Amino acid sequence: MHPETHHFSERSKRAAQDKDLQDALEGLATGFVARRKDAIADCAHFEALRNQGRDIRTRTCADLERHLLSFEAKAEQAGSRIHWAETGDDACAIVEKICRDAEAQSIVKGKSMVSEEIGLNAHLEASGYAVVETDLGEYLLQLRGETPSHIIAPAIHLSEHQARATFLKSHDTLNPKRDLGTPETIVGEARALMRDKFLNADVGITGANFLIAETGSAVVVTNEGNGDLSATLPKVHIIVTSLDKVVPTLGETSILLQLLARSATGQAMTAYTTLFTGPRHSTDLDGPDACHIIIVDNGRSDILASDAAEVLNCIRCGACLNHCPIYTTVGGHSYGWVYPGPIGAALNPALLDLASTRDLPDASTLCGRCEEVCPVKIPLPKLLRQWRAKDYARRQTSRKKLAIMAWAWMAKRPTLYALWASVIARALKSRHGAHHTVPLAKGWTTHRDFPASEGQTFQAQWRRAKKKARPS
Amino acid sequence: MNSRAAILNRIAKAGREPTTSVIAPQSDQSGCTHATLDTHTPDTDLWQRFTQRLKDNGITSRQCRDAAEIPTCVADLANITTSNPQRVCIAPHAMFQDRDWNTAGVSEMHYGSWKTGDGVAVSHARLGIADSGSLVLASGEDSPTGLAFLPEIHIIALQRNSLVATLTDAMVRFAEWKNMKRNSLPRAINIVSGASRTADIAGKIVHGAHGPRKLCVVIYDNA
Ligand code: SF4
Repeated sequence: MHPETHHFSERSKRAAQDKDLQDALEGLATGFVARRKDAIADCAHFEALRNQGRDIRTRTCADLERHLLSFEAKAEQAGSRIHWAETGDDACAIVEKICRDAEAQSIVKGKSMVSEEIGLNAHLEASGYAVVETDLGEYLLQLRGETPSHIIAPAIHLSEHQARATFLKSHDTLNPKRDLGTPETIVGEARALMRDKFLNADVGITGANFLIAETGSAVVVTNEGNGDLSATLPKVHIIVTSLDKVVPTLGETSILLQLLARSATGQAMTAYTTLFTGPRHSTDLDGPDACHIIIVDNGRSDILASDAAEVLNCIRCGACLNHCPIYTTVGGHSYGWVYPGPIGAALNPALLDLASTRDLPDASTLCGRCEEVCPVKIPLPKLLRQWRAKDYARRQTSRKKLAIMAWAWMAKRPTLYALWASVIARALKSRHGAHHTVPLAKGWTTHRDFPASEGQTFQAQWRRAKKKARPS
Repeated sequence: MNSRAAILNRIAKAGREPTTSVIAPQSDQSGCTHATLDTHTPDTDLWQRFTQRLKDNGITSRQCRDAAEIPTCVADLANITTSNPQRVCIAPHAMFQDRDWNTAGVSEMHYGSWKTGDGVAVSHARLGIADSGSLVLASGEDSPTGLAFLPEIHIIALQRNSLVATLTDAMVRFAEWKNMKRNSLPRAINIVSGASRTADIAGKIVHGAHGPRKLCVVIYDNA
């Protein structure tokens, strides 16, 4: 996905006026937010789980090399092939090669934020492969040529009416008069079409929510079951994931899973949580013949060494988005890249660069709701403030710093300074007592007039007054 | 330097000191750390909690005295009658073999993997989890994974003594399920906590997104 993070300001203004989007975003409060609240009220030890979750993530990231190596050894022992990708392009090339070797005609894919990050679909399609997104929300977006606007509910910005119109337009071989009057009928149509795709696919691609070092397993969590079908029916299963997903043990994974389900959708457990460990065994009745796991870095190992390392603790539950006053007003597309909301504002400057993402850390009131709801207690406001400070320092070194240096140089040369000041004073003289516009001072004159000058500097006026007063 | 070495090198250079933690890690021989986890045993009776959670998750449950009654429960749960015959795909699990399916009204059935046209599938759970109302299935020669995702109605049988309190209690046990030949876990361990669902059409929850529209559990006593 091509980053367009520098358009935040225009996009958010447009989003705030978009009636359909505002209606959709309103649903967040009654949906995710309310369900999470109920799920947590029903779990007396949730705060203890959060503390454990934070410690598990912090400790794992502090010893990442060991856990990754352990994961690799166990996964290979289970028969998986491990591939390491330094960049998104490397990862795409690896996936493409596996598809080519498998002589794949059709590919089904489960939802994966990492694959969005690296632009996997575009890459595979450009190489001539037909890739079908099987998560219903992602499928709608694929038909519409749009990108996800939420980490766990990618099509949250679409209304039922828009979903219906998309199916009527895209599924043009079906009877145009068919009944698509309810969410049930829309889902039914997707189910029927997708079933064929699953049964005929050669390769299934999924992401992974967690990688378990103790067993070499990849954990995939879905409510639809599309991840499991993608991982079970095709003869090749490819898991595209990032190196921060590793968790040391089964027990620790169980803690993170409980936090994830409750924080994301307000369920005690998501409908389907599956541990995939290697390809099918010789006695298995189904499952793929090969399992490939692609561990993507794409900048994360550098983040690990930086003061933004805590962003790598994220388990992608989406709670910080649902509770953010900015996200719930401007929606996910305003952020211009895969990861929106507070986590996007903290992560995108690290994964991309600060210059093109500098508006994102500013897109926060620093109210602290994100940190309050984060299941692994990531100090998001602190990270956002850190980016703001860095951006300020960065910009000081460019235009502003240059201007201050020029002024200092002039100020140290009194004759030159007086000459310059008198030119400015003359230029700012006006019969009307004020200016509506002044070059380079738009920030001031948009809201108020700029007072006109007397036409002379204070020093010049002082000298003249003194001369006049002196007795001749 | 290849990608693997380059990545691992950068991670090593990041040089973040392992921090001390409130969860004291203990090393096992695999070099992994096991956390001393707060497994939080529910105070109410496990079974009461389990059945309540099943209900919360929209899972219909039936209890029967022994495994011989499973076919009758299946026919009842899937509403199989002469006027509503359905083909049933049954996992080739020992508990399901040599049962009298025909007398129970399940006349069209086969053991093995799901085939197009099978409306109902029956699998056997390794564990039930009281805290979350979940059933744990593990792939193997008596348990094809597809049964959990391809039929309209999925029915899972659970032996009464296979209930554990929490997800943590269940997951730490997975380590014991290693296949001896490959020394690894079953290919797929599915923790199933409800029928397939989606909220992708305007936030409204609809069941039967890709997988089963209905999920049922038959709990039987140890025969
Ligand atoms: S930062 Fe925290 S709240 Fe936000 S998505 Fe990540 S884990 Fe969830």
